[in-house]
Amino acid sequence: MKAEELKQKFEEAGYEVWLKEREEGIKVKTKRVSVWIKVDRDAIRDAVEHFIEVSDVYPHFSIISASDEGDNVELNYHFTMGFGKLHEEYSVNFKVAIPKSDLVIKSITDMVPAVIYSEREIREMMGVEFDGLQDKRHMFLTKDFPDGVYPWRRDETAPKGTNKLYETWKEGAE
Amino acid sequence: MMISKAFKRALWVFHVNSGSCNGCDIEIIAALTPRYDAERFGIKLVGSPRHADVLAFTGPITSDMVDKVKRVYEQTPDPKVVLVVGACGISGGVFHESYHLEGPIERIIPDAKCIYVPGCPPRPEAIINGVVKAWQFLEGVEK
Amino acid sequence: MKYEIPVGPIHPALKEPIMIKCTIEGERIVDVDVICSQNHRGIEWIGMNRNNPVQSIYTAEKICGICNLCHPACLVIAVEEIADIRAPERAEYIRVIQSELERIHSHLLWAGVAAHELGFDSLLHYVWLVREKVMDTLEIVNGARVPKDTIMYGGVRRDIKDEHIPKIREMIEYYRQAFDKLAKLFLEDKTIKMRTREIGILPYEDAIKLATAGPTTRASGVKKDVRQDMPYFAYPDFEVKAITPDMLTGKVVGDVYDRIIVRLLEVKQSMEIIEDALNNMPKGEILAEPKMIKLLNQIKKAEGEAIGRHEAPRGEDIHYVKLKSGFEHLYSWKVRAPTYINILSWRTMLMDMQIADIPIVAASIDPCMSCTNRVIIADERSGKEKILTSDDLHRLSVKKTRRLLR
Repeated sequence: MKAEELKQKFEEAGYEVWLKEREEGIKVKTKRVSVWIKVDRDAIRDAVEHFIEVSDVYPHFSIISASDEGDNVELNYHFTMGFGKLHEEYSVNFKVAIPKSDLVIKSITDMVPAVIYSEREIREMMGVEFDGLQDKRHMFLTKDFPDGVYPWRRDETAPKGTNKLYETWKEGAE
Repeated sequence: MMISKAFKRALWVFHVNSGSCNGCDIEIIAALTPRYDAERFGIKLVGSPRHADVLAFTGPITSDMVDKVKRVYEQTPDPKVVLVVGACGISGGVFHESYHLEGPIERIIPDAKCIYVPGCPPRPEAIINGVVKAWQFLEGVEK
Repeated sequence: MKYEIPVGPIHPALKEPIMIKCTIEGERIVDVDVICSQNHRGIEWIGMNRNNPVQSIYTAEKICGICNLCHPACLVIAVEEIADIRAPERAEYIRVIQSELERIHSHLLWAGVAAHELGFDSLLHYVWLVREKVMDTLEIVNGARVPKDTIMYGGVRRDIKDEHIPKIREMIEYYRQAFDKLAKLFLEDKTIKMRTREIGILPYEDAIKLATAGPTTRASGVKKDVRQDMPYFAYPDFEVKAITPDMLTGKVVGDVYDRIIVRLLEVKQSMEIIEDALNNMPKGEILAEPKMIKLLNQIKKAEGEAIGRHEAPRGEDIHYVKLKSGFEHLYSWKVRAPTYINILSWRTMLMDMQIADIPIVAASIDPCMSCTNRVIIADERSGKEKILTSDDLHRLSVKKTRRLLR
């Protein structure tokens, strides 16, 4: 399935979809295509389910990324589609905004098993709770990392008092 | 000639990766394999700190590795030398100021005798030179 | 009766700290859990809070010291898309050559480690001796054995000069001769075949469901290679084909042996790509914008988001980057290394295997972090703990090899 077809299918289902392209190659020109889909927080499970349904092969999950947008935390679910053929792959990205006042989203681990490490990572790095995530241990942070500190946030919960090693090089510093 | 004395006591090295990027680690292995062949001097990597004379640390010591580093240091019998390979263990290197670092190594084990091998990563020759310095210390050549 | 075996987090060989908890019943592994907080250095935070985008290239290089071109490459692809920077033609070719040199060195490194895990140390030493040739070439081209520090927004920092080209060709000739011997040693040796055939199987369906990447997934028959599917740099010109084990043996099993085949064939493929690139390399500039301050300003003004993907030796590497106009650092940066997704497959591979197979199965995905240091066998009934060192584990592995040889 081409990127345009997927775009059409998601538009029919009522999602906001846009495409991005960039040309690559010197003698042979190809395009790197990415599809971006805006999804409501409550609709993430429906969107992924729809995605698995309409795609002819099982979508390849890549990663969830997150960024702090002030009042919202924005999650991007990155997938890739159409691998195995020459120059035909494109990436599919679901964009979800979650308000900071209620940082909860439904887990999709039962539909896409590979997503578990990413959800655990986002949970500790951004403080987003995943409803339905079984394994709630820390993924990359140490066991006794302080609660309420989220390294990827840009507000008062960001880590403070970091290990300023370079200051020991300054003359007269402790 | 000092080098002949080296055969009196073969140095066994235990390698601890405490959050390194692998750059130093592959150079340590390169130092042992045929091109540089440090094993002909009796320098070899062992699988337990209890058999080691030299502890080779790479990496900037992440928060999770602090107690492990201390434990490995305690398990090594005296006399022992800590060989800090790479810029990370010396000063944090490119990772300084991160929230997940407790290094450098002298903060974790302050009473250790450290031999520093700077570089990112150091060449295998430099690592062998560091081990020779460790040998000189252990043999009492250099206090 | 069940035992739990924590494997890790410190290993005497060369890999990074990670902890694998295996639950075993007798000799059979029934459950696997991975704990990987030991190596977290907060690199994304550094890129988002401390560094400017150019400094972040060099931090990205230190994500992994072995494949130290793939991470900056991903970052550069993403930022170039956002800021609309185009690298000159020659630079794109140099990037391809550097990526393939890295692949040769990384795959040979892995072959040595795999031989070591099987208890075949003479092969480790032989492979690492052969690997020194590509290290020499990297040193000639980049000035240092390990770090490349060559990739930059809008091009590369160092040209491949005319006097380097004969050296690279000499290296390819050297590997062409060494390849047959390596292939014979790895693919025809009775011991290696016994220790790797039907061991650590990852079926096709699981490889897709668990979203594995790189040689791990290709060995299970999934034809997935970013250089083929969604090419970048100058890769569209080469028409790279994803390598699967059936190209050599005619069938796909998805075991450790198949992963060896895939990596060996990829070394050969890399040599062909380098040769092709050297023959067709265009002349011209290597950097679109040599003035750093101008470049930094251009990136600072840019706004948007993009993903950069690169086929690293271990698999597909993805970076998500978001830039905000007027913001000093990268606004958001998410790195996904191939091992991140590949370690999920350990569970499937290790199920129903024996303890002696842990080292080779764990190594077979070429983890960027792995280890087998202290193994504690806790006897639930008596409450006693028996501590095994990695040496013991390695010894178990060697013992199994000997037993099979008899």
